[in-house]
Amino acid sequence: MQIKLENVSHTYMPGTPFETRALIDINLTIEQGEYLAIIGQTGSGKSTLVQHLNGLLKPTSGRILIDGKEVDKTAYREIRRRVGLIFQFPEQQLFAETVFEDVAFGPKNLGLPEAEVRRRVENAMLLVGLDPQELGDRSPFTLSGGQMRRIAMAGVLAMEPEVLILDEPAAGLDPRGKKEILDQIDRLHREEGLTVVLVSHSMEDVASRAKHLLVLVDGRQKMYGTPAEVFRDGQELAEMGLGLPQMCLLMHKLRAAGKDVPTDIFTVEDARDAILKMLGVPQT
Amino acid sequence: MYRGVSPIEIIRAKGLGFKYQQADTGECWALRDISFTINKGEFIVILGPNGSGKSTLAKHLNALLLPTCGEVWVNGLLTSDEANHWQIRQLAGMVFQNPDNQIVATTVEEDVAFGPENLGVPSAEIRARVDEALELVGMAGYKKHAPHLLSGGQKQRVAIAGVIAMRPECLILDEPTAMLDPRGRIEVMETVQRLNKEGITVILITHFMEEAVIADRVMVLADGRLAMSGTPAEVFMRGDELRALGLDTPPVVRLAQELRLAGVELAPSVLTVEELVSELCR
Repeated sequence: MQIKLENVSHTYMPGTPFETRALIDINLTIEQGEYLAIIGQTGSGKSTLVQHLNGLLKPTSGRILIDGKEVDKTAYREIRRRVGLIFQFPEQQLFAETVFEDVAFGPKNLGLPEAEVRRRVENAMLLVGLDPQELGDRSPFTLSGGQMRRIAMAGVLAMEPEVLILDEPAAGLDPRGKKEILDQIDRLHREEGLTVVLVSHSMEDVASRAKHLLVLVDGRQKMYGTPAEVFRDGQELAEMGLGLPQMCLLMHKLRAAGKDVPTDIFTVEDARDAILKMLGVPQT
Repeated sequence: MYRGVSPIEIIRAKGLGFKYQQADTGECWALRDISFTINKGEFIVILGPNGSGKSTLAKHLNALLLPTCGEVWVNGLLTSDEANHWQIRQLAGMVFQNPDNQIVATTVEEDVAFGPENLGVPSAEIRARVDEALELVGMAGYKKHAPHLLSGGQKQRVAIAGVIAMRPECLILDEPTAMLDPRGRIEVMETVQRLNKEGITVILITHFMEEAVIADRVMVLADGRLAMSGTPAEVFMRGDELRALGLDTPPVVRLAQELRLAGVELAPSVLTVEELVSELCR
């Protein structure tokens, strides 16, 4: 499915002293199979924006088109099924007595037959790397933080959405936990063909994974493009207080020191190759 | 009884172990046989994967938890002696991960005044301490503001000011930047570094490897044990061991290692982008 935002603005509590313009004139097309990362400081409008993508919020002005058709009241139920939204710290939303029941909650509400519910739960758990036989009957509250987060993700995946939106999925995890969850999202994108929209603070995490980046500043769309395009101008991002991924920053500084290196470098391996080339060291 | 405190030592742990009861798996040792000393004015970073015991250890350093075995002293005061608790908690102040859980008052200055008020400090002196603390964390312009309307980084700086107003020797921060955006992280890290330069001992627990680079000493916890301890350069040199524990090195340290493997000569102490640039441009 394609999601298109046309001149979307959102104002909280309009006409009151607390009126806040959270989104201002956003134009954005999310194609089928996209991997979009939305980056910005706290209060920049990231969460407000993603809540428009599955109909939790409606634009104050502008419109949202799904597959070319404007979203109206009757379509919201359908959209929430097709677009899964995983909030920050989703493990706080677990509630059922067993892992199976927790993951099954959504599909059961769809009124699916029991065998189909079971198939979906088992499939969703496997997709996030959890064994349904081993963990299905356990209480979710006895598991580790990383496992709980993946169960919450499975609960959304069991709805079999086409688009997966994740708000800071790696927050609070250690480096290994962070890598595991981000690798899993990559796999869902690559192998299951899910469209992914990921909200993040961390340039480091998204630069080498996302196809496109959207940078929000004070509710406005400040930059949009491939990582290489967005990170071409380091100065501008630094002024927004967002900074560059460490490898990209290194390349910018080497360039500033007069070295001939590319700046669209986001991984340690690419940086190594670029520097060896710069030094004229033969590579194996 | 431990005597003969050297003038520079502030915290000592000896054979520290901590055990707690878990609902389904019985008892569990969260800390095992941990020994170290921390000197006044040091900047210590504690690293460790989720569940390694970092927060449990931090809570032992101001007597929020008491050892199951072994001992902890803060400024020569034994934490297991309840009579020392007030003094220990004034000496070693703690800042937690979630800034929203630490706000107690409706204005910034009242929030910062809460600690010294509880210590029974005279009100004129409280005024002076609150002003000084807010000045130190760069929040002097926000005295009358409502704390819940501040940004995450500002809230954390108010929480730090609340601890500073107690005039502690030692500031313990448990993942203070985990929930902050990049700007908030920079604000808090700069504040912590400034306070350390003023002479306050800092113990910082973090998941962000790049925050460990500025430490005097890094301690790595794994499965409740002290697995490594040394300067950032010494600890990050052991990249493979860190990764086996579920941690990592900052990307630039990993890159330096890759370049060395490819035959590029680099100083062993490369920890930051700036250091690598100057090495490569020599």
